[in-house]
Amino acid sequence: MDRQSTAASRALMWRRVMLIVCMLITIASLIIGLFVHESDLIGAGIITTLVLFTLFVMGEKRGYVKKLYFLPIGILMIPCVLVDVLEFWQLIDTGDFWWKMDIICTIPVYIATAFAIIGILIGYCGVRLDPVMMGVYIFFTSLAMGGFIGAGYYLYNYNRGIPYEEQMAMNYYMGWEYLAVIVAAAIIALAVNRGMKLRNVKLLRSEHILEDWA
Amino acid sequence: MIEYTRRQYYFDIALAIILPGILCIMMILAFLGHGSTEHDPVYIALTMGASMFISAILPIMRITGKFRAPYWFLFLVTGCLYMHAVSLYLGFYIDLWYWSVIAHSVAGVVVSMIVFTGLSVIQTYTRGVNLGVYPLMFMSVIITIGFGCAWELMEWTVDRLAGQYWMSYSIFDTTDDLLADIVGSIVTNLGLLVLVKTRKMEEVVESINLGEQMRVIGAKWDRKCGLDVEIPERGANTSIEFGKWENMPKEERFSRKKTE
Repeated sequence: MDRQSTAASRALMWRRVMLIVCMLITIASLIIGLFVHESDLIGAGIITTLVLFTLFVMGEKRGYVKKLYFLPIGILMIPCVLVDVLEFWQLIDTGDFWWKMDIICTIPVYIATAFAIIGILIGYCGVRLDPVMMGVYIFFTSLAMGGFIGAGYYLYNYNRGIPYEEQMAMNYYMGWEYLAVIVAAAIIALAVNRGMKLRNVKLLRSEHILEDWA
Repeated sequence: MIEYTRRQYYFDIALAIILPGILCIMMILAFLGHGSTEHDPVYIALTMGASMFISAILPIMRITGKFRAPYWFLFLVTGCLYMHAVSLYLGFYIDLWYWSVIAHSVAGVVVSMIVFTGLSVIQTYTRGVNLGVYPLMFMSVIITIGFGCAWELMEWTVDRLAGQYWMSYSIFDTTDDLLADIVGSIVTNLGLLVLVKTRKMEEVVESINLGEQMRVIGAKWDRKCGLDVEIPERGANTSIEFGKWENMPKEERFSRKKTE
């Protein structure tokens, strides 16, 4: 085996390891979410695990997507879990500041997952997007993640007898969360749009998303 | 070229007066305290006022020729608007616990249809951008849920600005609305899947009758994507034969062979 092919197979192995580690982190988030009764961790855990699993299976079949599209999910899940766990064990004050920190930690996971979903669509489904449609897709997919997790909250907590005052407080923070996600998604979508234009990428195709495998 | 007859012109003027007119009367009645006693009269009147302006937009755009939306589209949007406005005036949201779920499911269906139509138009009239059939339906669901979130954010913002609890009552009110949006959009797209499977989508999109303006916009969009496409002249009889709704061409797919 020559040096070039050895380096290529090592790179492939690392890509697999990275994806599996990210998947383990998201599965752990799901389990921790169930333990600390945090529906956003449960929702994000389910969605991100599914997305990463799809990336892994499709990667084995057709080539891996670039690290940019899946690595942030695993990395960004860690602070998201940490804040919720610290809140649960009452190691931090669950006042206004930490509620907002919780929101700030969750939003990047939404956006990273949106990127991974777009990676699947472009990489494996033959979708071709121009800068405008790419911005639109990133914006709405990030926003929809908030919708899925909101709906998950309803299904998970409906019969848990949450007092009305807490329901109102949760609604207040959920509003802030949606405001944060809409602003962050708009900024990221515009940045992607501008970035594509600056790099003169007129149509984003699978070749741009997938790396040569091995 | 789609003909715009004198009869349609008068019909549009009538719509531009009647549709907002009814809501204007309801707004005045709400101000006078004749609306549902379970909501703040100011809130009902403001909602009627906002709905009044929105209901006038499509007919006026038809009259001025800016965008001649087909009548089915106009009545779909206005019907959804009326359903929300009138049920608020009559107090259905408080009296009937399930009304919010029905209203949001219907909104999910309507928004999903509009989004699907928009994406289908892009898919049909552009050569460069390719959304794929199933990814298009998936994104139709995703974009509808995104709109649902934006709507909930709007409700929250209005309540914060007004210092009242007019629109969002609790977390469960917000989240069950989102769940209803999701169910509505998924059901709609499953229904639309039958349409995609049984009809030729180019013909379906053509039958929406958006006119030649779409071909021009599509060609301009393609040129922006760097494709060498001629922009059709107004009135030119061009047909669309791109076949992008068919299965994705093999060479478009990233195959393992290609990279090995």
